[in-house]
Amino acid sequence: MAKRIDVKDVDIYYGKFQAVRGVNLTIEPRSVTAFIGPSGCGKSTVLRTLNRMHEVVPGARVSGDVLLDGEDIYGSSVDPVNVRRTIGMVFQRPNPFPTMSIYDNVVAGLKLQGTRMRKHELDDAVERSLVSANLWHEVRSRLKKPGSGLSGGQQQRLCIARAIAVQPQVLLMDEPCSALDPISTLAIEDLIQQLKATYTIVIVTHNMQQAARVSDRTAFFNLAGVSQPGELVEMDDTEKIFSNPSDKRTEDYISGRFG
Amino acid sequence: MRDIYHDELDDIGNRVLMMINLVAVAMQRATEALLDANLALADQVIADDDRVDALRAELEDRTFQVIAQQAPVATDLRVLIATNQVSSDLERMGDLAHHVAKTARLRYPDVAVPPEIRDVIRQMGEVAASLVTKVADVVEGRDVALAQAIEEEDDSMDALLRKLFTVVLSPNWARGTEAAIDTTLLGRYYERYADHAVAVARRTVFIVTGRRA
Amino acid sequence: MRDAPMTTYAPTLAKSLSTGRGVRLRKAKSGLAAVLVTGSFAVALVPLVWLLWTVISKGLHAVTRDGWFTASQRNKTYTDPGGGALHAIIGTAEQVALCSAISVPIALLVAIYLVEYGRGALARVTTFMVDILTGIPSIVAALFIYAVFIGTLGQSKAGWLVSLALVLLMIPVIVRTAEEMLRLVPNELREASYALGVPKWRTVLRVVLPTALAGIVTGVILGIARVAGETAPLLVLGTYTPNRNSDLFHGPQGTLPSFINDQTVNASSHGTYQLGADGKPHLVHNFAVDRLWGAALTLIVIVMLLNLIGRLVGRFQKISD
Repeated sequence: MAKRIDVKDVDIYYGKFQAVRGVNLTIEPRSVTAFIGPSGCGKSTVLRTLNRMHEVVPGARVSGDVLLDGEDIYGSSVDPVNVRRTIGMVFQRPNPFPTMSIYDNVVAGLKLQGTRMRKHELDDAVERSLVSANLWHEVRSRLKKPGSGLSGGQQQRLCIARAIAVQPQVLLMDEPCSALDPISTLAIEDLIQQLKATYTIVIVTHNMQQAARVSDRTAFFNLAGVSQPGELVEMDDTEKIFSNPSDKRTEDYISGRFG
Repeated sequence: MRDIYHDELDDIGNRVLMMINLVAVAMQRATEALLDANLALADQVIADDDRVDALRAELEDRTFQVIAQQAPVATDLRVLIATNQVSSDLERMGDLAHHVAKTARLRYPDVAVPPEIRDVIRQMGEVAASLVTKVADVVEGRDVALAQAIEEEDDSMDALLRKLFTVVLSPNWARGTEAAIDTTLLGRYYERYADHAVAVARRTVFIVTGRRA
Repeated sequence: MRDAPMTTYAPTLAKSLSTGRGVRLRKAKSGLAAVLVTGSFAVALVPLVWLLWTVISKGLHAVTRDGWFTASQRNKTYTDPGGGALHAIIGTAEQVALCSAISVPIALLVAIYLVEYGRGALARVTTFMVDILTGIPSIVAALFIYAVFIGTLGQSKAGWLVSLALVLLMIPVIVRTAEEMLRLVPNELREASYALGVPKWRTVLRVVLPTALAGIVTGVILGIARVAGETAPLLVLGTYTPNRNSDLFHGPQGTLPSFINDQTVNASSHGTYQLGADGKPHLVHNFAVDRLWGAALTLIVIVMLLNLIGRLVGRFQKISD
C-alpha cells in the first residue's frame, strides 16, 4: 500500500509549446508533498503528469520517466486507465456526478470500472470510504439523496470518498480547498493528516500557509523567465523551506515579494 | 509588494538600532559619571533608562503584531523572533548602565572607584564602548564575520574582570568591605554588559544563517 | 437615531437622489422603452393567438363529434357528415415512430462523435454536412428518396418511404440539440470520471449521456414536432387512403397532413347545397371543411402534448451547476 513516486528528467509539452522542463523529484510513500509556486508555473501540469491526466488534452506529451515504485507509468504496455486506478485525483471545484445519489457517487468508480460487487460489498465500501473522508455521520441517513444537495465542503469530502473508494495508492489533490470557506478548508486539512497514514498524497496549493500546515515536503516551482517553461526551483522538508530556504527565489516567493 | 509589511520591518530594525545607540551612550556616560563623580551625568543616565524600557515594550508589541497579522516566514520570521530576544538583551544592558550610574550617585561626592582599580574600570568602559559600537555595525549590516570577532573582544573583558578580582582579593586590599562590594558589583556590571552585547551579535548570526551560532 | 451631523448632510443627498432633470429624463426613456417592448410583444403575439383561435374555433366542431378518434373515413363521401381521423392518426404515428427509431440512434451517435471524439478533418466535414442537412427543403429530401427507392430500386409508394424522407429532416435537428446538450455537460465531470480510472466510452455512456439526457429528450421531441407536419414527402412518396392501414410497408396510408390536404382539395366541390327561395343553390354546410380544420387541430394538439412531455422529462432530470 502507498507507493513512492520518482520523477526523472521530465519535460512536458503541449504540442510544440514546452510547459515544464527538467523536473526531478521524489515523493516518499505515506507522506504529504505540497507543490507551490505562482500562477502558470506548471505545478498543476506536473501534478497531472503523475496520473497521466494531462493526456486528456490533445497534443499533450511527456518526455522522461515517472516511476511508481520503480515501474514506469509511461511504459509502452501501460494503459493510462490502469494508472488512474492506482493514482486517484481530487479537483479544485467539487464535482460529484449530478445524476447520482451520494451512495452511487461513492461507488461510481467501482461500478464504472466494471468490477462486479455484491450489494453488501458495495455497502461496506460506501461506509468505509465515507468514514475515511469524515463524512459518514453527516450523510448516513440520506445516502440515496442527490450528491449535489450537500454544501461545498461536504461535496469535496464526497469527492474524496469517491476517489478513495477505489483504493488507490496515491492521492493527487489539485487545489482542493480553493473553492471552499475557511472552516471547510480546515476540515479537509485535518482529513489530509489522517489520510496520510494510508496514502501517498500530493497537493497543489496557492495558499502557502496551507502548504506549511499540511505538508511534510514542499516543492517550489517557478517560471524560468518571461515566456520560459516552468521548472522545479527547490524541494525540501517543509520546515526548512519556510524557516530557511536555500534558494533566494524561494525565499522571495514565500515572503510575498513576488507571485 | 507588501509595502506596509516591509516598511514596518524596516522601522522595527531602526528602533533596534536606536536602542543600541541609547545603551551605548548610557554606559559611556555612566562610566564617566563613575570615574569623575559627576552627579548630574549620573542622574541623566538614571532618568534616560526609562526610554530604553519603553523601547523594549514597544518592540515587543510591534513584533507580536506583525507576527499575528502578516504570517512572516523564513528570514522575516527570524528577524522578528530575534528582535524580540535582542530587545530583552538590550534592556538588560541599559539596566546595567543604570546600576553603574546608581553606584556613582550613591558614593557622591566621593569617587566610587578607588585609585587601585581606576585604570581597570576605565579599560572595562572602553571595551564596553568598543563592543557596543561593533554590535551596532553587526546588526545594521548583518555582518556575520564581525560577529565572530566580537566573541574575542568579550574575552578581553573577562580578563579584565579577573584582574579586578585579583586586586580586590589580594591581601593588600585596604579599602574596606564596602568598597570591595562596590568594586565587585561594578566589575560584574561591565562583564554582564559585554555578555549581553555578544548575545545580541549571536542573534544576528541566527538571522542570517538560520542556525544558532 | 439621528445624529446632528447626519441631518445637515441628508437634505443635500436626498435632493440629488430623487429630483433633478436627469432623473425625469431617464424615467421617460425607461417608460418609452417599456412601452415599445410590450407593444412589440403584443404585436408578435397577435398572429399566434389568431392562428390558435382560428384552428380551435373551426376545428372544435369536428373534433368533438362522436367517433373522431375512433373511426376512419371509410365509406364516407366528402359531403357526408361524421367519420373520424383514426386512420390519419395511426398513419402519422407509425411513420413518425419508424422515422424516430432510425434517426435517434444515428443522430445521437453523430452528436457523441462530434463532441467527444471528433478532431480534425472528419469532424469538420461531418459538422458541415449536418449544417447542410439542416437547411434541406422537405420536397428535396422527398425527391431524393423517390429517385433512389422508387426510381432506381423500383419500390412502390408506401409509408416507410415517407419515414425515410423524414429521417433526412429529423437527423440534423437532433444532432444539433444533442450536440449542444453534450457540450453543456461540464468538463469537470468527464475529468472526475477519467481520474477514477474509467475508460472514455464508459464515461460517455454512464456519466455524460445521463447528465445530458433531459436536454437530448427535448431535442428528440423537437425533431418529432418538426417532421410530424411535413407534407411534401407525403405527397411524393405516399398515397392517401380514407381507410385504416397499419402496414407501413404495403399499400396507401392516411396521415394527418394528407388528410388535411385531401379534404381541402375536395372541399370546394363538395359542399352541401340546398336550393333556396331565390332558385339559386346556397351552401348549407361543408363537412369537408369541418374535418380539415379538425385534423389541423388534432395535429397541433399532438405536437403540443409532445412538447409538454418533453418539459416534464426535463424537470425530472436537471443538470445541476
